[in-house]
Amino acid sequence: MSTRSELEALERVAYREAYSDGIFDLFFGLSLVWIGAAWLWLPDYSGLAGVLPAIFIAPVIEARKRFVEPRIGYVKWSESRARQERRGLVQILGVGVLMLVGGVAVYLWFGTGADSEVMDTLVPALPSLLLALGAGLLGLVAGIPRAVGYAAILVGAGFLTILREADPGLDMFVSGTVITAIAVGLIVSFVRHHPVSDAT
Amino acid sequence: MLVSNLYVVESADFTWLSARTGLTDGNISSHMSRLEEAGYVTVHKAFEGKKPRTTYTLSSMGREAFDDYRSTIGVILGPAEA
Repeated sequence: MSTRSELEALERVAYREAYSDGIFDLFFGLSLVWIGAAWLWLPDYSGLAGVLPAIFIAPVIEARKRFVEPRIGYVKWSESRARQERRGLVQILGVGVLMLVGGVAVYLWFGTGADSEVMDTLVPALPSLLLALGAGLLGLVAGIPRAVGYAAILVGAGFLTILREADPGLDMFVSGTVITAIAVGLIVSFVRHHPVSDAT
Repeated sequence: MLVSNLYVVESADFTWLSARTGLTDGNISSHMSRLEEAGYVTVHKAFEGKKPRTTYTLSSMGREAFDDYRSTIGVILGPAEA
């Protein structure tokens, strides 16, 4: 394990395995289930549905640290990896802002007038499709392939909503349920393979 | 294996090294003691709240020694990337 490419592969694998616990996946899946359910069954409060997951982000990060570190330990990544993380975050936020601006522009251009029927068809799936873009980017930037898989799930659920002319929220509820199930599997596997260590 | 894993990160604790290498605690302790004696690894002891945390960092001497080892292996094995 000494060539440059072998060392780079070692670091990539270590980084990917450091996020194999499934906790963030579970949080993402449950958030989608909650938001989808709110849109489907609590339409008066659907606008606020996204607030609850946002409130829980910090506690989840702390809880994950307490769950993961006794099992796979603590690591401080290299400065190059830290720079890559910062760059990736900026890229994702930048794309998010562009998507928001672009989405509003597209809606204003097509949403009123003869083509508004197209927009009316797409609108129920737009949140899923936007989240899919974010998840896909995260997977590519961070090198976590299953995030790209989640993007595919979100796209599939979005098109299912369009095809069935279903209410908004169904796509997020369905994709959230699938992602939650995957996350539970990841957590079970993680616990099985990484018992708590007594070492300090 | 221990040095390779320390080489690609800034620092790590015992549990991380154990999880990454699959070595026993005794093996890791023994190796880390020798590496520390040789000046290739520095040990940092701190507290995370009330919990003690010991982390290991490959020193600059350790990184140089590993780079020399990689170069030597590259020469021995032929034109493979080093």
